[in-house]
Amino acid sequence: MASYEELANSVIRGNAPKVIELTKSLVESGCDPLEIINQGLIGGMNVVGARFKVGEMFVPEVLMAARAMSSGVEIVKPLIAEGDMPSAGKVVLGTVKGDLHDIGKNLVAMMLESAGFEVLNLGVDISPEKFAEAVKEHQPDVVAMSALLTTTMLAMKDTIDVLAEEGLRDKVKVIVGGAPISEEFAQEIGADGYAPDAASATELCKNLIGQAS
Amino acid sequence: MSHSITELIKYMDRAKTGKRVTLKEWDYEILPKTLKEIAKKYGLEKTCDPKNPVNTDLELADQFFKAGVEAALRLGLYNDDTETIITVTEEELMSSVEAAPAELPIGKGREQVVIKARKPSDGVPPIYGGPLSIQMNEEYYIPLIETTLKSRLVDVHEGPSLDTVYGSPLLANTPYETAAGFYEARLRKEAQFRAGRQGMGNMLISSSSTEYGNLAAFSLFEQPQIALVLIPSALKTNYCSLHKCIQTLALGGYIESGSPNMMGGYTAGPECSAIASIADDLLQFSIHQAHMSGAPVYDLRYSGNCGRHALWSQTVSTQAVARNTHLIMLKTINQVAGPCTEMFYQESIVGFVANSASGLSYTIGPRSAGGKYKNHLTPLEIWFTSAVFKGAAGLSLEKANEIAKELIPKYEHLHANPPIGRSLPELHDIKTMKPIEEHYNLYMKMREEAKALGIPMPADGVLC
Ligand code: B1M
Repeated sequence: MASYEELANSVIRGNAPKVIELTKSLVESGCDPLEIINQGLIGGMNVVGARFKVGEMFVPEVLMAARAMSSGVEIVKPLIAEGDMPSAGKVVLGTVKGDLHDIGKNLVAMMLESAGFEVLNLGVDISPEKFAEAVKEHQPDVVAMSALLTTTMLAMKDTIDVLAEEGLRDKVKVIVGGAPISEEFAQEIGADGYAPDAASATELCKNLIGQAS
Repeated sequence: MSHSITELIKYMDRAKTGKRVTLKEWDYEILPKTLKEIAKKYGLEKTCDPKNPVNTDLELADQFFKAGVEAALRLGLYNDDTETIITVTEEELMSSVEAAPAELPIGKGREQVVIKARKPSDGVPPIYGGPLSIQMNEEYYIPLIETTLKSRLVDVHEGPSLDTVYGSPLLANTPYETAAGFYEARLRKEAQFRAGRQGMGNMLISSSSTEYGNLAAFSLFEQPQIALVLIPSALKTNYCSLHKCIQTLALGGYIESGSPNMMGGYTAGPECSAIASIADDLLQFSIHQAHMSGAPVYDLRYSGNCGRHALWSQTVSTQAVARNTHLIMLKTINQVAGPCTEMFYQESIVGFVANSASGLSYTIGPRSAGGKYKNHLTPLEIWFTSAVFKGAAGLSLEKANEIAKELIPKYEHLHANPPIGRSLPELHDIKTMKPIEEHYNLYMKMREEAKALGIPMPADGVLC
């Protein structure tokens, strides 16, 4: 019989076909679907996150691992009652209007996904209106904005204002980050939090969602 | 044929018919997988030797060049706006590289300098443009530039950049950018005049990233000047970049085009990032009809390139292109420490010596404090980096490697949390631009240290 450790290792190696094979075998042998996710699939992804942090793995490898994990999750998902499916929360993420820097934002997405968040990555150059539309459509727990330029960071405030105008501000937590952003700036524009890097963005989302519930 | 709008339009047409792939497919699948396959095919996997941060194996560099050519042909550039791939044929790639200039004169009269293609350990000093586009208060622009340009160590003028125009916040992608293009161009002229440097060459434009700013700034200068065409990321293009290329060609300017290859990002480790950087360099001359390319390698972990892995990757890719073509390359050398810190000077010695010795033609710098902190830029860092870059001309790669091995251990543990130093008004009296004693003393001490390491340091002509 396949083991959780083997499954986790296949996630780490980004070997999707193997992950599918092992997940099926664990399901068939009667293992608890939640344990397959937590110990095998998310377990593997936790190692990937840690290796990425210390520079032992690069973005493409992390993405392959994330894809491998998702292919396993797809198999077990139908076996779990909707409310029991482990999800840390839903995050709408984007780089603000006028700004094309996407590398840091994509790292934030990756770290959130590895920690079990559902991430709707809107891309770059996202206008306040587009953020608001995405909030209406997806009803996330958190709106996360990235900006790398002093000439675009002000678009974060515009986005918060549009969320308020549309009556959506109280329904979501807003976090901000990126090289020119600081804790003071976040407070000044009325965001709920600031994270200096991708790992702390994940912690921040967990804390904010924890507080809200 | 080189540098023609009709050629450029040919490639733009190709964007309409090129293979359609999503951004995700390109970033997550096509780019990393192709680079990995090529690295394997040419036996380049795990060739990075972090114990020797400056590559000294020129045969290895040549092998990287072959891999880079294959990557350019297999990948092409992804157009973000059309979500299609623009590919080139081998004939197109090679003829555009062949037709590219080996020398570019810039500036008028006694201000003219010639940017030349160089080889590893070339005795001809490279060209220095400065300062980099680091954000500054409007009121500091003229004092900083007037003082900076008093030194002839700065050949071409680029930054700093502004985040306000006549006191109003400069908002990206709005008419403020057009205003910034004109405004910055006028400030430049004033500062150059005050420094007695009218007619010097310019890299346009720092305060605006769009085609609006480019057009505004170009309209105020006699040509040729150099356009800064920063493509969206490695091996990509978009309509904004193509707008800038067309404007620049039509107005008689030079195109500098490219983007950093983020090691640890989609271009993966140091070997694949070096291959991507070479491919990126080569493709600019056909698809963008560029006069010079700009495809440095940065380490994603600290957004710089004076640490072991990124330095190795940048040196091997620079050597590859320098040895196998006559292309003019501009690459930035990115410090993470700020003004008036010992780490800034150590990173600079390592980075500028390694790149000068590897055959880099041209740089703009410095990126003090990672370029992230407003007003963290002073003339002393600009002069120091230029002196090292030029002084290192003719040094061997072995010597550059020896220097890197001696200095990197002194700062690499600080990459994640570097000292950001102090800002211009903290380090200079803005009225007289006199540096505070501590700043001046550190500058002079580090010049002596650079000399002691075997780097002949040209005088700045102002303080020494
Ligand atoms: C929601 O919650 C969160 C939480 C944390 C979050 C978060 C969101 N988002 C980010 N984080 C955090 O987590 C990540 C790590 O864990 C971190 O993300 P970072 O993005 O900081 O770090 C990444 C992992 C790696 N770092 C990066 O990717 C950025 C590196 C630097 C060198 C950089 C790059 C690569 C680029 N650039 Co740009 N660029 C610079 C950058 C200098 C620097 N030292 O940062 C910076 C940001 N750029 C600058 C400039 C001026 C520009 N750039 C431009 C263009 C580009 C490239 C296209 C060439 C390229 C972007 C490629 C891409 N696809 O992203 C232009 C703007 C284009 C546009 N409209 O956006 C242009 C305007 C240049 C021009 N004149 O055209 C400067 C901004 C100055 C300022 N204060 O405004 C700059 C600091 C460079 C400098 N002066 O030295 C944290 O900030």
